[in-house]
Amino acid sequence: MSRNRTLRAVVVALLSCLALAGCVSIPTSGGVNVGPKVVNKGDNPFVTDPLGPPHNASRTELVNDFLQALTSSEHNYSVARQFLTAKAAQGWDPTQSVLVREKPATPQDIGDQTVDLAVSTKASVNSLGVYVEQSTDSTQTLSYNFIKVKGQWRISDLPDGIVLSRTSFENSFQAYPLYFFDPEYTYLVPDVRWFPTGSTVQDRIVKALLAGPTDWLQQGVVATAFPAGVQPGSPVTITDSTASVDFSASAASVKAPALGRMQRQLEASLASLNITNVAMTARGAPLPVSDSQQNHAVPAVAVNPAALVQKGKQFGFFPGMQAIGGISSQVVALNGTAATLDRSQANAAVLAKGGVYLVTSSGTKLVDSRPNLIAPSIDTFGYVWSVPSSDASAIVATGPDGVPHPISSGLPSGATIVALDVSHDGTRMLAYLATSSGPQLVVAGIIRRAGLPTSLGDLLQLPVSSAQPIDAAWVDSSTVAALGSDGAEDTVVSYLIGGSPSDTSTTEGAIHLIGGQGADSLRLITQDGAVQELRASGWQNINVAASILATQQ
Amino acid sequence: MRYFDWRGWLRQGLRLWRTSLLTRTIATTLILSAVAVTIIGAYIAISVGNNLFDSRRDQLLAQANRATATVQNAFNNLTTGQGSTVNIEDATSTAYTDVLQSSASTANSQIAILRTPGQSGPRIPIDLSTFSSTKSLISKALRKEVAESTTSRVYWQSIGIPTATGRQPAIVIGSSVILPKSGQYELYLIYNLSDSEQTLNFVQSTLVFGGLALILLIGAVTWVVVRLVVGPVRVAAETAQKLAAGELEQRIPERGDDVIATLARSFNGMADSLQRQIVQLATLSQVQQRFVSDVSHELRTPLTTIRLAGDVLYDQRDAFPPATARTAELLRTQVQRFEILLADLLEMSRYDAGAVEVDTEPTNLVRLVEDAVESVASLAETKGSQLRVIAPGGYFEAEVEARRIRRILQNLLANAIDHGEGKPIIVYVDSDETAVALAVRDFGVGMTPAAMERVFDRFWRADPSRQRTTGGTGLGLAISLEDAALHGGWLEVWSAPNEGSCFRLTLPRKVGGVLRSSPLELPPDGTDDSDE
Repeated sequence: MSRNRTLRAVVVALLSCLALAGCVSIPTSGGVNVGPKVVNKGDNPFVTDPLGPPHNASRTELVNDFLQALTSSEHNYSVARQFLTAKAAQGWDPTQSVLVREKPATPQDIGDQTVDLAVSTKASVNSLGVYVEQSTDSTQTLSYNFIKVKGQWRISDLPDGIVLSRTSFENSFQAYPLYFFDPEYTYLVPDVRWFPTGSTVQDRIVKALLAGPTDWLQQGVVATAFPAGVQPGSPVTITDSTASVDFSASAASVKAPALGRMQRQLEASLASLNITNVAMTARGAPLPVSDSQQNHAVPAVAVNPAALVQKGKQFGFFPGMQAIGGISSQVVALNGTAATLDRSQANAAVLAKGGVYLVTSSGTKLVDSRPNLIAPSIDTFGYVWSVPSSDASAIVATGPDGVPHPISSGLPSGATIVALDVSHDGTRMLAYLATSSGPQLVVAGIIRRAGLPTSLGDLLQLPVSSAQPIDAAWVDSSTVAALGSDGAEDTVVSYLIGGSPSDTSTTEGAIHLIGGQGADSLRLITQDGAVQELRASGWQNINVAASILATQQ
Repeated sequence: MRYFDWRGWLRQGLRLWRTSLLTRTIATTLILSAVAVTIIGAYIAISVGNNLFDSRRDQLLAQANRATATVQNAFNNLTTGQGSTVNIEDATSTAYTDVLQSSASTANSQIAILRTPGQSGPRIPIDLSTFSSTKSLISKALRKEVAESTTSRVYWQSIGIPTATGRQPAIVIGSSVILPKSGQYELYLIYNLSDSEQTLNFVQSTLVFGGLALILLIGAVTWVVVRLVVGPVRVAAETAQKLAAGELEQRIPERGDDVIATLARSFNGMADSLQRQIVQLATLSQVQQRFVSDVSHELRTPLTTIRLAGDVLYDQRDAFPPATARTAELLRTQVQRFEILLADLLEMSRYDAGAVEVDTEPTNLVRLVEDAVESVASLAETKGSQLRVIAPGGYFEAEVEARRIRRILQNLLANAIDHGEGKPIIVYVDSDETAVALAVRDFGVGMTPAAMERVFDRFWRADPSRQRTTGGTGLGLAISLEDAALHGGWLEVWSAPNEGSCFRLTLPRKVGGVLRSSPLELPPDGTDDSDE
């Protein structure tokens, strides 16, 4: 009997094997399956392979080839140095500056063994990586002197720094944000610099970090944990996503809390090189940071990514219209045109008929009753910033106690201001103006004394287009967006602070722009009350008719 | 320290091969099927590998064609654009981005756009490639072909990309493109074929695994099948072995109707008949022996009476007339002879019945020989034969039954004296580590080879007319042979007519010893048979 059973089992196994084998083939039908996301990879890096100076070339040919050779920074610009005399090669510093030319430049031989190069440029980078871009091109002339070495022309005198075309610059340089702290050491504030990608990037980052923030962020706008005398020591070594950063001997005397902050700044600044740990040494002696001393500051991001709207009698987060405890009803009662919610989500500043009101859980207070005010802003200390649209210089910051403080700034008094926004970390101010000489998009640092804002620092002009200003907003800690109109349609352009404009998109009828969580959460509201969100394919309606689209700090 | 005993394993394996039919069959099947599977597997791997490479290569060539068209279009568009504000510098980087973003590139592919060397004019735009090592992957021969090509086609070459762990297979496809207002450029696309190689490796490892599994399965199947055949054969072999050892009851179980069953039935039939015959013979022999023994016993009783009567007559022979006295002597002698014959017959019947036991004791053989010689000394004197003992060995004590050995010796010596014709008779004793030998050599009348063959037969006489002085019964040598066999020894003879004879007795030193050779030669004095 067991023999029968074994036989049957064998037959079943055999048939199932045959069936399985027969079913294997490439499928000809099936259900619908979800694939991966479509990614538009904008990053296509390449390396260039320039050649050295050709034999018996003329001086203009040499300058042309020299410009091509500057695209390769391999081995400290070894190919470019072949065009120079030995003495010039020793003294030339290619890292001192980068001049970005917008158009091809033709060298002119002006005799006297000198070749002049007229470069049409609007952007440049200095030795610490600070990128500056103007709105319009200007022309700079560079001079190259030649002498004959062994029968061949070689450059004997040339200006420091390199010249790159826009595409070469975009290909070989990359934005590296350095991180500093807000005055309370709570948030990381980015300061974007540009360095050539390669093996020396980490040293340049550390050197620039130790040199401190850029001009317009100085005067106490941001704080750095690195004391003044500390210099970089031996080159940074990276093993397995841990970087070893060496400082000069004076770093040994730094106290513990500052060490933790220094480590945090280094970790954040070197993060784009896939570094997760930083070990600090002073001339080789390790500077340990205990767990309790570690700093956990991060760049400020929006607290709630959902859209905050006032719709009918409700003021809350869409969808769901979840109300904000204690203040939603008061905001609705004011029947305003613009609102801002602070980071604690407990206070709101509303622009309504009588002026700017501060709404807290304890009640509504009128803080600024001047006419023609624009949408207000609240900073991290609770100050409400308001300014009339006709006078950009009349900025007033009112504290929670109701006391107004005028803010002095370099903003032109006669200019029309359409947007005034405090950054999410409370350290910088964004202003979008329409002046007699054209629109201006400026950021400036907020100078405080024990939390009380007193003035704005130097103005940094962003290369805004000539469109009619409508509104501006912070996209994230290092990017702002400006909404302008050129008559037919509205354009939204993102500006990297310390970089160039990017990400242009168009829409119609927009009156207010808000951001907060990166380019993914840029939203605007049109005059019909339609709220739109920016997607990869353009601005999309999110199907809510709102009276206010509120900013969240 | 244990070491891997190759020789031991090899010996074991060879022994297994020799002794086990099962092992031989399975091993042969495994080897042959392994060869077959390897050949087929190799064929499959080769054809799959070729096909993988060919189809991938054709796909990549088509992609490279598209990439070349893309680049050429990009170059053409640049120059038909804004005229004098055309940006030649960015031509190659724009083309590079276009190729990368189009479907003409795969992951891990590298692109190089290089200016054909040896052209006049400014070298703008400059060469670019994905990595600084990309240019080193393009061979000079390929660059030459592409640069000199007059028809617009792609050229390809297989290369290996060096990595930390070895070389990855890749294919480099090159074609030439013209950048108007600048010159000829070469577009190279390097596609990494390591995914095809992985597929091929996967196929190969699957084949290897499948092949091994197949061979093992074949081995298992063979084992099952061969057991069906070898099993019954082994049963038959074991049964035959038991039969040979004496267990006449063993039979092979018969099952079914096939060849094996036929074998079993025939084997059993043969065993049956063998058993019957053996039993019959045994019974017959037993009956015969009992008859002889019974007869001898029965004869004894009247014989004793006859002897007694004869003795009486012999004692009173003086009182008889001379003819009657002689008759009485004759009667006595013949009755004595008859008694000896009867005793010998009884002895023989005991041997035949197998009812004889050897009662050994340590005995000095040389001493024994000397005693025997002494006992026949007077008889030898009457014949005029000299007796001599030459004993180079045998002085130790061997385990033998002295009575029987003495009887053998006396028989041999008596024969030698009888047939010695007065010539000297020599007795040799020698030994080695396993055996001891005695030889009685006489130089008398000898025997023919025909006679030698029959000399140990019962009641056989070489020359029946010869006078028998010792009154032999004709059973002496037969009894001596049986005695020698009882000890596990040999009794052999050499003879040549008119040269004499030599009878050699070889015995094992210890009871149960197996004789392989004799310490003495036959004949020991070097006389050789081959001279005749």
